Amino acid sequence: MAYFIAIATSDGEQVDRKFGETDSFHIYSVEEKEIVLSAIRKAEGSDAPSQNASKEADASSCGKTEDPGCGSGCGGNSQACGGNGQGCGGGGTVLGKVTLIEDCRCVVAKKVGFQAQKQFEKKAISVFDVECSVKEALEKITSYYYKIDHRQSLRTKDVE
Amino acid sequence: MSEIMENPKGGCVLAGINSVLGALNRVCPIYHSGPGCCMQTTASDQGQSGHKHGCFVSGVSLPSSNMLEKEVVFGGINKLRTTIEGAIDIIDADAYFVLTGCTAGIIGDDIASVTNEFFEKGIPIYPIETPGFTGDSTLGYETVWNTFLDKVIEKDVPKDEKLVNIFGIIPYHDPFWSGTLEEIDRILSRLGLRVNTFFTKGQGIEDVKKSSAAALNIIINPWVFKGPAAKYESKFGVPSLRVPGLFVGATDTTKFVRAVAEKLNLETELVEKVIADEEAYVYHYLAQSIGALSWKRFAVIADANNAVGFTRYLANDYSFTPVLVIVSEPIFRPEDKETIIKEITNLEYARPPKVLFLSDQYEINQAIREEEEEITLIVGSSNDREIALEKDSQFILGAFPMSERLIFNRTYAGYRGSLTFTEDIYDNN
Repeated sequence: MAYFIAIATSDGEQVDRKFGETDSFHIYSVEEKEIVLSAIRKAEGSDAPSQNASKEADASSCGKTEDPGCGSGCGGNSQACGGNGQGCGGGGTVLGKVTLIEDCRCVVAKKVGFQAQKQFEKKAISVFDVECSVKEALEKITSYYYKIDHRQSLRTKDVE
Repeated sequence: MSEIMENPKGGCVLAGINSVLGALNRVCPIYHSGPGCCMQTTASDQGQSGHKHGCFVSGVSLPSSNMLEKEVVFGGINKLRTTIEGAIDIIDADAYFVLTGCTAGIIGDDIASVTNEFFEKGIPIYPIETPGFTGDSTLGYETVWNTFLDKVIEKDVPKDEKLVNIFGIIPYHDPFWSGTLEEIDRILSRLGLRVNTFFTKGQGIEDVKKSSAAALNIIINPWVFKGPAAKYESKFGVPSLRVPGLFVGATDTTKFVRAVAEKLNLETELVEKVIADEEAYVYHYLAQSIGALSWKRFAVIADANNAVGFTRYLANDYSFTPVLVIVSEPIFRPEDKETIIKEITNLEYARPPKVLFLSDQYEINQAIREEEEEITLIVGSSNDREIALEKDSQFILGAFPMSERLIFNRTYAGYRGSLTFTEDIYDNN
């Protein structure tokens, strides 16, 4: 079964971008053992409202509404945004990026914040926050998925 | 071997290792495992052992690398390194042991290379590379001692002719372990010996290191500790004496004292004086309440060590009638089963009981339910109380797992323990 892997990288060589700071994801498509770079998806800027927040980008509505997207309004200006139950850090930006790659099986970035991790968890997308080369990440992740998809043991050595 | 066992009595290897390390003073286990192993392994052994826990670190206070999917894919070595750094920073222990969970065992993380980095800096940290799935808690006990023998115990320690090491009583896997070790310590000390119990009187890793000085290893168990005993002898020249089952009551304890005395060439006069003294103490009490307990036809459901002890005491010393003995720990070697059967059936004058080796609770219950002969007393674990109620027979909680009693230094073993055992049967505890 084919699937996508999203990697936060600036040059396609190293996993060098944090989830929060990256503005694009390299999307790799994996079919059995064949890995192809299928697209580079650009995230909209952090000040741009995400899909959910577009109707209520007005900062004044931020503290009252329970719309999870409203954080984008808060993150954009310097106002505190604790009132909506989504915490700080611009929940809308996070949600926008999460939505951007929600068809992927996993996401790889240098660091992934707690909020984003929770959002991915809800969508059953695995998060790998590692610092290594893109090549290494792809090799390890595809080999892992290949084994679990084909019901193979992950065991690498015999134990006593 | 893949079978499903109902209500297993004990946990995985990790549970056994954790119990042994938890009983050693100032020793800190560090788990390289998934989240939850710390709690589960503590709950499966220490949590069912008379409400007593390792008090230095146990349960949720154990450091753990909490491996998740990321560690499975990319390896957990870096996380283990930071976990060790944190543990050393926060917990002031005399020694640290890194334990391998199932996850780490499957993906094959090289734990030894990480512990070596710290060991070279002078931190006493050792890897135990036996993953949880390798076996049960009893194997965990042997695994710890194998690690001690390979990495911890010092060579060329001057021999001490009066020093003995005690093995075979597994901390927490036997709820009476501390009381039993204290009673053995008390008896052997009267013979002029110095005793390493390792788990009582504040003993710790230093006593383990110097244990190669001992004149004799005394193994009180019919089958556990064969591998480590052989290694003690070949590597450190410490011979061993195996006592094939726990001694409960004057008859068997005296036999044990004589066996130790013969092996160590102790002065006969002193030995006989101690025996006479201890026996007088026990019989002095028994004589005061002759007939306090009515005659019973009994069944025992316990691990091999206690099954031997309880059956022999009740049959030989108290002349109850043994009907059925169920050894409830998994034992695989045929020769071990033979030793156990011999100890249980070779009684002074009672008719030998039926001996079964069953670990599955359903099978245990069926065996008791279908026993044709009448049973009026069952000595067993908390898991066996239900079938005793169904049978409407008297029930004594005397074996692991034990969740309805608080056990500090109580024991049923030795001279004095047999009096406690008799009291408890009267009290119906």
